[in-house]
Amino acid sequence: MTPIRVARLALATVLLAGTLYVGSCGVDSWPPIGQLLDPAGGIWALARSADIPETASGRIASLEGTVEVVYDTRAVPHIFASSIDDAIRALGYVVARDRLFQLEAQTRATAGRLSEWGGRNVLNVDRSQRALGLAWSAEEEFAALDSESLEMRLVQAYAEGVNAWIDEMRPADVPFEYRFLGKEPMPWEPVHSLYLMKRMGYTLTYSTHDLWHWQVENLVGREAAAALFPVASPIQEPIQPNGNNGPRYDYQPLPPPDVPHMQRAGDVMAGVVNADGESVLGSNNWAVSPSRSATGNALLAGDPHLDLTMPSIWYEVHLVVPGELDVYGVTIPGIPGIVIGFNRDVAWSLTNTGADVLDYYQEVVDDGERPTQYLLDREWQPLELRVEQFFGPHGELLAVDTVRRSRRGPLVHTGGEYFSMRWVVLEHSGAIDALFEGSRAKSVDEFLSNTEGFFSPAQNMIVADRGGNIAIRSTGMYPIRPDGGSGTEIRHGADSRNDWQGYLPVDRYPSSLNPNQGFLASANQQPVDPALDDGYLGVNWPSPWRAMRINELLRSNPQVTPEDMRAYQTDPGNAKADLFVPAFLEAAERVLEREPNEVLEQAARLLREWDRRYTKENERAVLFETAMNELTRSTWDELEMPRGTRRIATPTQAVLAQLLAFPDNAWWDDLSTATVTETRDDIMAASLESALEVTRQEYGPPESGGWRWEGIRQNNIRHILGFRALSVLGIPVQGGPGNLNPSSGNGGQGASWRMVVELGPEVTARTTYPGGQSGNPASRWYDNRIEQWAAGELEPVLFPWDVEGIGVESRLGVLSLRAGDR
Amino acid sequence: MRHRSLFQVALLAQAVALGTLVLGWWVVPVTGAIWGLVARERERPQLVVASAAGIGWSLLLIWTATQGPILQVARRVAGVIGMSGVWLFLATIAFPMIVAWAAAVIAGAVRGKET
Repeated sequence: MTPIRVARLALATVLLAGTLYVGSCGVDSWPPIGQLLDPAGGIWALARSADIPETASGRIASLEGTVEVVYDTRAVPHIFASSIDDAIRALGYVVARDRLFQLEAQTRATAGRLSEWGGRNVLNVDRSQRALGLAWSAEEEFAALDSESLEMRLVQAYAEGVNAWIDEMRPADVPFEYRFLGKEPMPWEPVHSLYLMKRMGYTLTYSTHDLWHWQVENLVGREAAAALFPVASPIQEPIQPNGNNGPRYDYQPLPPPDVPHMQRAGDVMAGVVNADGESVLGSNNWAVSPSRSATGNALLAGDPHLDLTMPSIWYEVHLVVPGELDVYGVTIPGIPGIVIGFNRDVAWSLTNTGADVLDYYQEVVDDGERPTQYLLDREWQPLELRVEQFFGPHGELLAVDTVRRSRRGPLVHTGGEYFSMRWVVLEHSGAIDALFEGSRAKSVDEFLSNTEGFFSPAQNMIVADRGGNIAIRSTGMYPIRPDGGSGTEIRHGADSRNDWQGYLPVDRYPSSLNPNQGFLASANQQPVDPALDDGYLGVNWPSPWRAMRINELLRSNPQVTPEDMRAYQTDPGNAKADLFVPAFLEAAERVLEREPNEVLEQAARLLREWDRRYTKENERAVLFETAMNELTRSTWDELEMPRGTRRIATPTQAVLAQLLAFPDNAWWDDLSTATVTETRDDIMAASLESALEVTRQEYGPPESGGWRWEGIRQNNIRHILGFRALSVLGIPVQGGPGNLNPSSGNGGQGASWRMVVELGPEVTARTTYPGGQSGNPASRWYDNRIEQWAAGELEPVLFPWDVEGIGVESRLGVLSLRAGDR
Repeated sequence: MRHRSLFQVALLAQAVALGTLVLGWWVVPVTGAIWGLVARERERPQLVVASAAGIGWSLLLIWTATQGPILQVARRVAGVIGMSGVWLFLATIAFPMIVAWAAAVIAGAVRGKET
């Protein structure tokens, strides 16, 4: 063999070995590229499943009759079935067809099985999820379900639909993410729907408040901690109208910080830190009575604010079973029914109540390392143990944990102590059947009655009907603590008298039906004015800026139109700015009277120019937001950790607003200036002055164009696996912190669904959400709604009575589902 | 390349395309190896099979393009694996060519050693 041939053979050997290895095993973060590049079954095949075919058929073995699914031109499937079970089977099928990977990803996230995809990178996420006991409780709840119950029927039918699609799909239909991960879809089990409800409960109610509250008490004293994180919001604009024609300001002086008890604060629960006082994981909904609607019909709007993801958390769908069900709205992939929507008579939407449904108990255990018993009423009780195994992508065992549970709930081990966690979410949810029954209601009364069994996560359910009724009720399980106490303290677990005494009865839930004011609104604010009912529901309520703004808009408009409702969802006004801007300006004026300060003067002039609107082109909102950050930092310096600068926790801006009423309160003092005692005006003026410096540094001079709001606050909708190429980033929107259209720091949260419904003789609605119906990134339905959403626009929905109601021009495709195997 | 070789390329390209469609990408090295064994005495068998593999996968890409938005796949998905859409196309054609060529060279050498 000639040297050239030898060289060629050597090259071929290296190349073949290399390409076969990379092709079948992948390398680094790359998946096996042979499979990936394969134009028949690899990523290119995504193109073949990107469009909705004009006609298609499918089989679901258990179908009782034929189901017709007509996709309209917005890619919304209208499911026409002859039985409820068939409709839900078809729902499972069409959701899986569009969102299969999302279905599984959400399930794995709750079950703590992401490491089977992502290995050690996500092992800690899995461990913390399983430590919370969500999957454990879902499995127990499922096992306890009556086999004939509605909930069991729904979750089973849904699973049949999902699995029918998994069995039937062609290689081209396998979602991209599976190809990338080199994984196959796992079968969908009925219990997975319950996992998802637990996941929702976790997202909406999980709180470590009790733990960090304890730390704050150690730092500044019990009285001060209670005032900084109050049970009663200092600004009352409650969900249940209190008879006021505006917010009620209940400002009380804050007790000064106590002598620090720093012996514990430094090390107890050092990991439990709540650095941000305001979350944008909130929502809005409101309804208007016919008396205040321009058309004389009841109106309803809703926009839940959640993590923005690609694909979206929501999936829009219409379910029709003649005589039994005719409901349109959004489902969450995995839930066998509509979560928010409307039917022929009723529309409803949800916001999170944010009730305190989680308490920690400090337990006495028999062993500091591996406890097996806990003390209760002077007797040792066995802990329930569950061994959790964590596997990697190749089936290798990564870790083994033992989750311990007292009769209250899972044990958390932190700071050398054991705490058990009693959490409503780990108990019966009731949400699946309650939501389903709610979607069949024919009136407001019926909706309220049908959803009484909705236990968790507690939601402010707003509802309106064609009869012109409107109502709201904060529905969910509210624990009753011993002696009518609050849930802000950590109780001793060794005494059973500290256990919850039951749950609030439904007639004590915050609620309102057809109030005189002619409208109702919720935006996660404290549900009931404590002046009317001081029963404990929660603590540290979000600042009511959005509630104040929407109430102001609705109060000032006696002739509300659906178009007004749409515009309000992205209204640029902001109640926080209305309250704080004058305070900044007045403080600056008083300080400037004492001594001239060129920078402060310019900052005040620039702030005065602001119209207090968060429009995209606005060039002053950034100064105000920076000033608020500076003010927060300067004011709450007492809450910083002793060996660092990070705050243990941050009171809400409503508490900060309360402090404005007390110019000489001790909290205004700057700890770093030992010889001077600062007042409100000093801190506010200094914050404004500092804000100008910071804004200039970050964004250039005021007139440079760098201060435009659209360049500063943008929404970022990230793919659920974080793939940048599949994300939609840098979307300029109108809105900001505290606006009806809120925008958080990283832009990853916001209005995940928008809906306006008019309940006239025929129900009409307009909707949108940031994303698209398809989870296939090659599909034009992957992100087609984002532009419309960013502009604050809505699209009219098609709400046909039957298949014939969808004209040929409105049809994208038809899917016929029949009984039997493939 | 002579007419006969061109005919062989066309035939093999169809075989690779069909085989990939039915059996997956492993058809490519297998085809390369088989061609390297059986066509050892023919003119440039490695080049023929490499060309056929590239053309075969190109045919599949063209067929896929008639079925859906292939450019959208290139634009979106290529970014996930850190390359541009054009490179993704090139990689899709180059990959089977390299695999088939290398398999044919090795198979040819093994056969040569035996005989």
